[in-house]
This record gives sequence, structure tokens and C-alpha cells, in this order.
Amino acid sequence: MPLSIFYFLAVAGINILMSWSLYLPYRVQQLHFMTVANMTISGYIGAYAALNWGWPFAAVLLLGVLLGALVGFVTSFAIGDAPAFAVVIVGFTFIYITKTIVENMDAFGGTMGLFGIPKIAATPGGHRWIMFAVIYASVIVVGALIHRFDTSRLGRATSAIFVDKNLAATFGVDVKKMGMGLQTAASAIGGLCGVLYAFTMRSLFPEFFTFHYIGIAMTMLFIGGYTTQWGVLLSVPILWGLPFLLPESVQSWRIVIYGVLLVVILLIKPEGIVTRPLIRRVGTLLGARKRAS
Amino acid sequence: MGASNTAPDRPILAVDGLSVSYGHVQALRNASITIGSGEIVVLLGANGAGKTTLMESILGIHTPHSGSISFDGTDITRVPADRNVRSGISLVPEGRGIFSSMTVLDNLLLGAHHNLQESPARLDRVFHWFPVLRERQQQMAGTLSGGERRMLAIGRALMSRPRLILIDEPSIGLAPKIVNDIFAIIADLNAEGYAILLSEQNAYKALKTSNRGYVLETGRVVLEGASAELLDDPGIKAAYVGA
Repeated sequence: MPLSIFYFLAVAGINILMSWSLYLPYRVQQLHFMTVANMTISGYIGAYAALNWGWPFAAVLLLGVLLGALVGFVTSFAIGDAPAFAVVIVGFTFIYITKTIVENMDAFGGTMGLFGIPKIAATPGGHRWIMFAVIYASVIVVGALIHRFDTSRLGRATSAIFVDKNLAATFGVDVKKMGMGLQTAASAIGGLCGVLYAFTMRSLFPEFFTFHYIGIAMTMLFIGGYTTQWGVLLSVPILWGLPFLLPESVQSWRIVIYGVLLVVILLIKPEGIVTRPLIRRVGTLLGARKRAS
Repeated sequence: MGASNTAPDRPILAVDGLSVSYGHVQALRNASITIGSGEIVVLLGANGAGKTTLMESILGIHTPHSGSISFDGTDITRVPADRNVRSGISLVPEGRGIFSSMTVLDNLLLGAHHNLQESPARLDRVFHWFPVLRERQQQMAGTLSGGERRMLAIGRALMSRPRLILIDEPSIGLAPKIVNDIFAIIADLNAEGYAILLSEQNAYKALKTSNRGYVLETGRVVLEGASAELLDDPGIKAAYVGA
């Protein structure tokens, strides 16, 4: 697989996962930006474990997911049912703190970052194919779990919380527990993405894990559509691939382009491109075709 | 209509000296009420009298700063709403009670959030009460008429297998014919054994349907008694019945 295609596909897969990590807590109207901090923590500690302790990739991957879940779970005790702005502030604070810590730790390479994260196959080509398979297997597994959740009684309850959490509480929906569960799952996905990103790029820089990355993931979620999990499957390849088709001088304006697109979509289609009614219509259409054949 | 017109010896719900505040605003002041099994009890009062706060406090949405609530002999004063719903208390909220962007079926299943295993049987029961909901189960709830929405809200409350149903302002915004239907349903539910606490501004209709009533003013219970007596009370007539 050519290097450019590999980077495009691998980072697109990671961006899909990160957009889902924002999608899940947003089911209860929380913008849980802490997942970017989870990505940093798990990415750096995982890379350190591989570089210095010789941990195999599978063990590092597991460590990253568990570490993300643990950090997300502990903080969710405080912000599981906090107002949206409080969750946003906690997310920003965590991103700032983790970035400052990794920049000031020699063990993590300081501002220069970590280099030489080992390959997981004997050849570069083998490494790319295995990483590609692991990333898209993760997309399929996480996507299936989210779909299962969305169509369960818990998914129905989160939809109720999204509309009116006080009303949802009158049916006995525990709003805090739901928020805690979703934040923990989102942080676990963030941790997974950190390790996948570290082994894809085989190097980590503190500058990547900033508010800038939140802007990218949030744009992908809100343009794709935040009411279903499917929108990001459309928006991520387009938004991630679009800048590569533009002249180099325009590429540096990528964030501005994303910002303009986000504002335009929020104005003309506030729920994003892929909405629940659209999914229902597609489902009906497919059902009708299946019956006809 | 249920049995007695006097306060029950062994109430299913007993609220004693309950006080609830929203910041510096005291919404309930030392309020006490009881409901017996199989009774319909009505809360009367103007807007802001504390009827909704009392119902939501019973369910566990608000934490009182003094007083106690017991359900079926068990203290539930600071028990959260999800546990009270599991124990058998259900609330039909005022007005906004349905999710317009969900189907009728999804709205009903939300009511069985804690007990999906039993939901097919409960659904059958709810559809028995409200046949129109069976016909419209795949329809978006937002497309229902006002009366059908109230039926949906009551049906959803029944999905959790309650023993006590708290119904907040069931007649608000409905045409008189629909109000009659809703009160007939409430009386039928009571005849099946559900204890019902009703908050209502349509005092005449509510007192005609209920066993006993309480009148709330600025968070205090200022009057209580058998519904027939309250209907004859000149003060009640002047303030709430308009006769």
C-alpha cells in the first residue's frame, strides 16, 4: 500500500473513531472534549511502554483503552451530569494540562515529541497493512457497539435525555449514570485512538493534541450529522481528503475552510447531512427493494 | 371511584411536613398529604401553588430540606426517581409529557425503561386501554392530537407497572369532550386498583372523580377533606369551581 494512501486511510479511520468519541456523550448533550486528552495520555504512555519496556502492540492497545476508560470513569464522577459548559471547560483543562505535562517531561521527548515507535511487522509494507486492518477492525467493532447501544433501551433513554433530561428522569432514567457510562466509553475510544495514532505515525508531537484537533473532530461530527452515528462515515473521508485535492497554498487554510463549512451547515441543516429521518427513509427504501426482489 | 372518603388508616403514600425550596424561593411549606390504596386524591390550587413541586418531590426529582415521604410503609424521602419508579410510582407530567420526534411505540417503551422483559404484556394492556395508540404505534408522537398525546403520556406511565400514578394537570389545553374521556379513563384505572394523585385546575371535574382533595396555596395545604364536602365548600366554589 503506498504511503500516502495508507496515511489517508489510517487517519480517516482514526478520525471516524474520534468523531464517535464526541458523538457518544453528545447523545446526552455533552461536548466531552476530554477524549483528546485521553488520546494524548494513552498515546504517549503506550508509546513509552513500547519503546522502553518492549511491550507488544496488542498489550499497548489494551493498555491505551483501559487507561482511557479509567481516566474517563474517574472524572465522570464529577461531570457525569454536569451542565454542557462545565464538561467543555473540564475537557479544555485536561487537554491543556496533559499537553503541558508531555511538553515538560524528558521521558516523553519534551516539545520534540517521541520518535521511533516500533513497527509491528518485519517490513514497512507489512506494518501498514496490519495497522490498516487493526484500525478498520476497530471502526467496525466500535461502530457495531454504538449501533447496538443506539437501538437499545439505553439508546432510547439517551434520546430522551437529549430532548429533556428532567422529563427523562420522570421515567426513572438515571441521567448521571447514563452520562458517566457515555463519558467512560468515549474516553476509552479516545485512548484507543491515541495508541492507533502513535503506531500509525510512529512518532508523537504535543502540538497535534490541541484545541485544533477538537475543531477538526467536531466539524466532522456536526457536518456529518450528530443525531446518528452514520454521518461521520460520510463527512470524515470528504473533509479529511478535501484539503489534499486543493493547491498547497490553500491547504494551510484548512481550518478556516472547516469553520466556514461548519457555520454554513449549522445555518442550513442544523442537524447535519445525515439525519434520523434520512436513515429511516433509506431503511424503508432498502426494505422495499428487498421485498420486491 | 375508589372506596373511602376519609383519610386512610394504612396509606400507600404519606407525605409529612414536606418543605422544598428552589434556591431562596420556598415552593412547599410543611405540606402533608396521604393517599390510600385504591383512592383518587386531588390537589387543587392556582398556578404556582406547589402542586407540581409536590408531585415531583414524591417521585424523587427534588430533594426536600425537611419532612418525610413514605411509600407503602418505606421511607423514600431522599430516594432518587429511578428507584421510586422501580418501586411503583409513576408520573404523568404536565403538558410537555411526550417526545414528539420519537414514535408512539418508542415513547411507550421509554416508560418500561426498567422492565423491558415485561413490556410486550404491558403494551397489550396499554393498547387495551388506548386502542388508538395501537393503530398509531409507528407514527411520530408529534403528529398526535392533544387528547391522544395525553393518552400516550398516561399509557407510558402505565408501562412501568405502577401502584401509584401521579397525574399532573391532565385536562390542561384539552377540549371539554376530550377532558371527559380522560377523566373517565382515570376513573377506570382507579377501578382496576391504581392509586391516583391528581393535580388539577378543573376543580369541579376533579372533585367529581376523586375521593378526597387537598387545596394548596403558596406551598401550604390550607384545606383538606372528602371531595363531596370540598365541592360544597363556598370558598372552593368561589375560588376554583366558579359557581
